[in-house]
Amino acid sequence: MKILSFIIITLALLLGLFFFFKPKPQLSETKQNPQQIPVPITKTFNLVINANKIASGPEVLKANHNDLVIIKVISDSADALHLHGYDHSVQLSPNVEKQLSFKANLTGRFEFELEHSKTHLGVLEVQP
Amino acid sequence: MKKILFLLLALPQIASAHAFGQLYNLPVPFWLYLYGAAATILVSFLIIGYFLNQTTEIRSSSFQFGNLNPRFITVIKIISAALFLLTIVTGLFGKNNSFSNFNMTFFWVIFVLGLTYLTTIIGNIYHFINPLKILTSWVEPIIGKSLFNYPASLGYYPALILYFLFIWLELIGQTDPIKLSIVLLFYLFINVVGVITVGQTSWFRYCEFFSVFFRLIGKVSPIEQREGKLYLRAPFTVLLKSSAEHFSLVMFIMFMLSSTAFDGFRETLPWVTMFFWLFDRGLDSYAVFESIGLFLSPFIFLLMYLLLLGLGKLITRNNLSLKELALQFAFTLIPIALVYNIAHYFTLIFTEAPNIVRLFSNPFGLNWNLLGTAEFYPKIILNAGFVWHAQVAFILLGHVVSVYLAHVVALKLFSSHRHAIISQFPMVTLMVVFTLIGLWILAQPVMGLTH
Repeated sequence: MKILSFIIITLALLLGLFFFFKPKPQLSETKQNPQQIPVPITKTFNLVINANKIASGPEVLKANHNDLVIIKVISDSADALHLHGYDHSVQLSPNVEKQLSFKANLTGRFEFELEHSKTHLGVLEVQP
Repeated sequence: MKKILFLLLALPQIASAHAFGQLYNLPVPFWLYLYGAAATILVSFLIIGYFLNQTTEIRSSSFQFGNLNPRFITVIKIISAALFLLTIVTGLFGKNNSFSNFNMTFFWVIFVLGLTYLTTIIGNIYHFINPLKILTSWVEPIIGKSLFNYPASLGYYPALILYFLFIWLELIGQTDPIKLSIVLLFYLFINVVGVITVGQTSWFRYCEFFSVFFRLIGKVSPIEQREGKLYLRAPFTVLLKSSAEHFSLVMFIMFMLSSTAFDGFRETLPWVTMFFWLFDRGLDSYAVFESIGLFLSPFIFLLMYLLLLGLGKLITRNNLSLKELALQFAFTLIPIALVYNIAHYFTLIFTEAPNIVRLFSNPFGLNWNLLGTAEFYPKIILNAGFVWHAQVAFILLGHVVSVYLAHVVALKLFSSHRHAIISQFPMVTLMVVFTLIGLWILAQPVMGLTH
């Protein structure tokens, strides 16, 4: 019986500690105006690929859960851009801007690569 | 930082690592890491405080709830041997693509990870289904007596060496289906030679590392099998009934801890920075650098273990030798080793393991559809927030169990209750250190560009 109350007290303390550390959710605009429908945030990334490497643009694309992500890519060679996890692909032809747009409904860290030449380019990080 | 990124690009072998079995995990956020650390210390003090004026009675009772059906055992033995052979054959003759060949997913995810987690729940089933044992069972009846009696002084060192080579293959070896099949065939051959040399019993007790690994993991399970009868018992308690009988087993447990820690640590900035420090001084192979790191990792954990055990011995003026103490406490670290593994890899059970449904329909990566599931592409990616909380919860749970077990062992070993309590401070410190290492690695930003 004694051990049971010990476990319960321990769990309660751990839970209390958890809420002590957990950051307070920031008052977002949607909370201030409950009537307003939240507009998804669009995150656009421009990538230029030369010789199978990112010549300009970020190597880590950062987004939040449910953002609308648009990745615009210009490559100097024909290949395909493949995003792991989401399993989205877009065919690339030399010097033509192509784009990949999707809702970031999966959270985590997802690599993207040039599919045919099998070269790793960067990662998309979607925070929950 | 810029220089590091540039050099990383210059080294293709880094960039192509981790093609198979990719983790989608994000680093644990800083506040949750702080919480984990604070909670670790809090529960440690709570447990010590609770036992301060308490004598623990170890209830090791178990009750029988069923029998093992011999026919069932025969069936799963046949299935296990068949799957092992299928793993080899698909790798040799199928498409050499890690994602469309049955063998990579089956071996690395279903067998190596899945069976480990299953073993924590249902006990050491590998004892029955070990395909290497089944496929070498013809050897002993033919040769009669083994060539040598197993030298007891060797302990578990053969298993430790094989375990090291296996982890090296997993983390650094960059296997593909063909390589994996060749390695498994070669390992089968080693097993045949081993059984001829030292006999089946000794080989599978001391040398075949999966047998040693799963036997240790099976000790945490609430289910136990004795002479064909199944018993239910409190989980983890069997870790208290026995202790390491040879120092090699201590090293084996250190390597269980350090190999997972190493896999996390090598994706952090300090690790990569260390490489470039050595790179500037003439070390040009990243694989060599990683191999050295992996090799040294268990010794770092051993050093911490022995230091704090030594401290415990010093302050209690205990007569037991340091080696004896190391043997007695070794099993209490198994829960921490297990939760390291779970926290690091469990998401693969969701992201990778379901692919096996598709691969059973098309094991060779051709255009087969044996079971009608060849188009099954599941996409189970757990929410990163859930993953973080689960990781920290697992790490905490392992810590609590290990601290508790160490306390019970101390009560057995030390003459007075007071000494047992005093001896616990270094032990708890050790476990706090190991747990914080585990948390720290989970919270580190994964090396940005490539890993």
